[in-house]
Amino acid sequence: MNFLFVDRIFDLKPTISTLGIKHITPSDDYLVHKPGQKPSILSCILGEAIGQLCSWNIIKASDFKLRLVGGIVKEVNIYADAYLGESVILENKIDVLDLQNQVTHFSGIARVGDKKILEVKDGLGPLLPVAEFGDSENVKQQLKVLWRPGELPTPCEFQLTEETFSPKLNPYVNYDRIIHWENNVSVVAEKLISQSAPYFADHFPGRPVLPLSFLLECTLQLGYRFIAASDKLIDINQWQVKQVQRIKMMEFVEPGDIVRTTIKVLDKTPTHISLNFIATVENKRVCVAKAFYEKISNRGQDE
Amino acid sequence: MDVASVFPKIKVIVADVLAVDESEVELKKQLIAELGAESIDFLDLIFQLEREFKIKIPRGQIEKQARGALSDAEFEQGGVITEKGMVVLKEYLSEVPAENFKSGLKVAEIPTLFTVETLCKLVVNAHNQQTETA
Repeated sequence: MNFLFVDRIFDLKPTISTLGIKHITPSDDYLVHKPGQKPSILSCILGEAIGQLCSWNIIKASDFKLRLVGGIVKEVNIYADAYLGESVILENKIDVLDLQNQVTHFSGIARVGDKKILEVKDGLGPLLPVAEFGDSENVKQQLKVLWRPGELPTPCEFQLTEETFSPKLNPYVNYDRIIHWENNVSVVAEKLISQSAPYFADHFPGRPVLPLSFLLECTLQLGYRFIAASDKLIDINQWQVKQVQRIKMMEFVEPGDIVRTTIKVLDKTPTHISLNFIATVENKRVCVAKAFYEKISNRGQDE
Repeated sequence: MDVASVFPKIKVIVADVLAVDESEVELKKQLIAELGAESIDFLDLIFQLEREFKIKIPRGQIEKQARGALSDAEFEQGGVITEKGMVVLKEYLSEVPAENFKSGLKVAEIPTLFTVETLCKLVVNAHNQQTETA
């Protein structure tokens, strides 16, 4: 299992924009199979893919000296799922790239054909030395393989083959223990960060740090279970995350750390729930966000 | 341009970035201790200030301006601010109460001293510098 999500870059205008693609295939580890639907990729992985696409642009623009790692995202909107067999077009725009102050401001969108899947708004990130996170020569080689200008593929109608209906579900997208659970109020859970976690191979070879997107996805998934338990629901898929706001990563989380996350209900109506997330390591905040879930009645295939 | 004239806009930016009510943002409030700012928030604050006031605030600007004519070695030793360094820092951050300058303060801890007024001064200085060089 790796943690690189841009399969090909079609266009890269350094300091301006990037256009890439992510195919969703059975070899993807971050798939979820909701009842009555095709397997789809976890939303945060598409957010991560947009971040990685932006990072490739910065790496090129800085002549392989700087890359985007962590930061702040003011708003992520989740419009629909992207399913197994689909190709997700990733677009990234760089509003500001200040190599001197080592900061970038960016946005991005993931779509399948004309259908918007996910949008990242107001991303602001620190630029850190490429060499701190791995071998610059390897990074050069990776970009050489990825960046192949060409025409984007045209979306087509398709059916899944029998075998592709049973993707393996990733057991890592979870917290390891629940410390406190009070329905409709709050939950506290811990995740033990192990060096053996497979995403560390790519994130990053020279300095393993927990991907923010991964921590966020674990927390969103815990949020689903918390909401379902609070409502005494059997099917956790009656709710859908629609928006995540004010995502901030303050500190790197490294192997050996224990992440303790507190989820609190901020607001609840029969159709909407907003949750506040605070993740800490040794009582120091490492990541915060607010997520908005919407109830979906008789949710069918998202097409 | 002076502190009073930039404060209204800075108040809005600080309130938005730190997700606090505008009424809580007062000139004397410490950004970290009283308004809950984290290190990553400074990245956002500086970015928003640059955008709003169309100025450039180079990284490490406050330390650089505070240091004035002092050399690196005169200002800090092994990351800890020297006595001489502390004198110029206090002068530069005149808006910060004297009791907040603890002996043994590290360069990396300078942001813990910052108040909303520090941001206002930073903007005014950057704007004036830009005007002078234009």
